[in-house]
Amino acid sequence: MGDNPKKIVPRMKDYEDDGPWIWVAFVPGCRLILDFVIGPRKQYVADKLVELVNKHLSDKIPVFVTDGLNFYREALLKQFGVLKEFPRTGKRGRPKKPKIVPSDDLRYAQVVKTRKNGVLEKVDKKIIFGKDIEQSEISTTLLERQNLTFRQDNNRVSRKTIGFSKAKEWLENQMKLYCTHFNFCRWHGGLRYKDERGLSAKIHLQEKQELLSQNGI
Amino acid sequence: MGERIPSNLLNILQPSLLRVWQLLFLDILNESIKIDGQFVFDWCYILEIIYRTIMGKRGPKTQFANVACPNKECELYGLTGQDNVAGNGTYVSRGKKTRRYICHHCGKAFCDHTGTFYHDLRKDERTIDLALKMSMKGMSIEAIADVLEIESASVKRWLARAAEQCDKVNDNLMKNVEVPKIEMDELWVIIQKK
Repeated sequence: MGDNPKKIVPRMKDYEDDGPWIWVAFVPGCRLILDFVIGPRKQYVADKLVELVNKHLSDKIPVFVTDGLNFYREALLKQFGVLKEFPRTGKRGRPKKPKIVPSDDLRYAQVVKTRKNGVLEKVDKKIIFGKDIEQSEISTTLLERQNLTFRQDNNRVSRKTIGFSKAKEWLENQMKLYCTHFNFCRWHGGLRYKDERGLSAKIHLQEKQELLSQNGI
Repeated sequence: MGERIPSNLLNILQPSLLRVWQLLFLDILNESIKIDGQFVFDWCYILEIIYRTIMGKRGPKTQFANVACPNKECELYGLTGQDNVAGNGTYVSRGKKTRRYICHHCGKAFCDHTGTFYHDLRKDERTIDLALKMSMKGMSIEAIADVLEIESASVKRWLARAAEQCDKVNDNLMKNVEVPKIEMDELWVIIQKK
């Protein structure tokens, strides 16, 4: 038994990528979870999340801030991009193919973290689309804190637990109930001193019973 | 001893009297009570107008002016005060008396619970609420069933129904949201693999 070589524990980076992820869109100003999708780290899931977010939004496009994952860039381009066609030059050769370019009011920035041996080395704030984004605005801190709240409140999404879900369907149902309660029924200490909630739909302390009895009319 | 006249009687009558004056004024304009070019004040006519304004139309009155028809195919769907909804008896549901209604426009009968989360559920509301609260706090379905002494299939059914209702609420309340900034991120979770 003692002769066996020491088992190498895989780095978190390696084993995390295999499993499913919850993709969350969050409004930090009023602690509103706009939508979430459960799926692997693939392009189609990012597309679905951005599409769902767009359904909730009005004509005005907000600033999008994400981590360094480039799937969001493609997804935002697909949703808010404009197809640009290039005129024929009249010269010889193959004509230029039409290209999707970001629309003028699309603003998107990334927070890119560089790690060395698991230790944070550098934080870069990159503006990908648009202008007039303040450096202080480029941050995902509040969403990272929100992720911790998910993990603390909910045994199904905790780390190092054996209370995980057995089927995706039930995790999704439970998360929907949790998020709706979080958005419309739960009191948030962080919003106590703010007069401007930023969103009229955010009804605090609304009775859950009232919420569930809504006809959806 | 005569009955005391309530002090707020005038306040109650005032809107009605105003309406009477409006009606009279309209009638004068329409020359309906003008005979041979002269105004004739027919007191019976005036009293009838007063009676109708205060009591409304003749015939049975509908009590449920604030109830709307929940049938989406009905022309009066979601509209209140259309005089189409009438009482259709009561029945006992989960130990409580529940009112049934009928829409005279489409002929469909419904009750207070129709279209809500609690429609057609037999468990009392308190137990269902407790089950959902426990689920929100992260308890497993089996654990909830164990604590509340119910079947786990019931908890599953309620949870699925609650999720469906949450979708409706989200679609309804989160429309045309105007916000300055949206953050997006991923959260790693475990789901059992087979």
